[in-house]
Amino acid sequence: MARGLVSTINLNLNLVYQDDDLLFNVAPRLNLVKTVSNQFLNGTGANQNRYLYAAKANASTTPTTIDLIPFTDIFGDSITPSVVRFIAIFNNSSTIGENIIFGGASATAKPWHSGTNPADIIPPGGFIFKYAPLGSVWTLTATSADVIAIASATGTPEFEIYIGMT
Amino acid sequence: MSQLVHTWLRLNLGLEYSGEEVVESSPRLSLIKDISSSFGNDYNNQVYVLEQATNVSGLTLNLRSLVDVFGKPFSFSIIKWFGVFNLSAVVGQNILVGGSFATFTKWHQGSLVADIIPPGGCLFRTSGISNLFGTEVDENGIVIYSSTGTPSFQLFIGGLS
Repeated sequence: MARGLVSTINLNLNLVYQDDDLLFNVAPRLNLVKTVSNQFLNGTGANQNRYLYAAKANASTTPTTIDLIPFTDIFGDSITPSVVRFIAIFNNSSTIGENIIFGGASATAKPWHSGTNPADIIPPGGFIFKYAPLGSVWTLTATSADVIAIASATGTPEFEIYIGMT
Repeated sequence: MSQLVHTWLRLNLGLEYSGEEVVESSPRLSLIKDISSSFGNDYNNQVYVLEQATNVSGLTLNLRSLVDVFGKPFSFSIIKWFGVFNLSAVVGQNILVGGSFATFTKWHQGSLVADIIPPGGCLFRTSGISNLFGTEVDENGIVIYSSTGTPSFQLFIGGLS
């Protein structure tokens, strides 16, 4: 395969919820399972992706900005993506207070948010996963909506970010 | 009284990225990001689940006044994880969460921020080892609305009562 991305995505949530009021001497239990499972093949249509931005770094209180149009991929090539299909950001810190701030005033790419100067707060040990297999809602626009920013609330927490795009 | 006895959460990304061909061969990178957690009820002891349609007017949930799947009232004091899944397959029927003066804002910065979840998509966030996402009397509402139409959604919230 020439340039391209194939992404296998699985999100699983499995819950055991119990009512402690006994029914026939048994605590009623509900087992809830929620699964998102998909494979994006290489391409630009629905359920497809083509480009990957991946990085592991330390954030600081001064935002790190990532210009996605164009960005230099892991093979050193200049890439011009158009639509974001998924974003996963992990805060690898184990220090309370070292929150990762994704977005904010200096970021111009925010098609996954509405509001003024929006940002997500990701506490230590936490993650955020945004997923959009259909349509082109999360469209990037050169110069006006193509920069993302990552900062820390305090300290220099390590983060990982993975962005799949068409 | 009801309780969340156990929670398993896993996010697995398998990424196969190939570059342009060089001398009849493409450079290739295989990345796997796999995060798996198992929580007891000391970490999260309540769950709220909901599946229904919304519209442009939206609906508001009070995180401090909910009824669980067994019909028992409870109140979240801390949100540990939060997932919204847009069940629509109609392009344009986005689900938005937030964006009102009354909404819970502990996981956002900015003003009147809402998450936009396209059809077929989802948003899932966790608070990790932090109790940052605490509910308060005057900040406890989750507003869920659509950009157009009446898409259905599923909502899963786990936390401490």
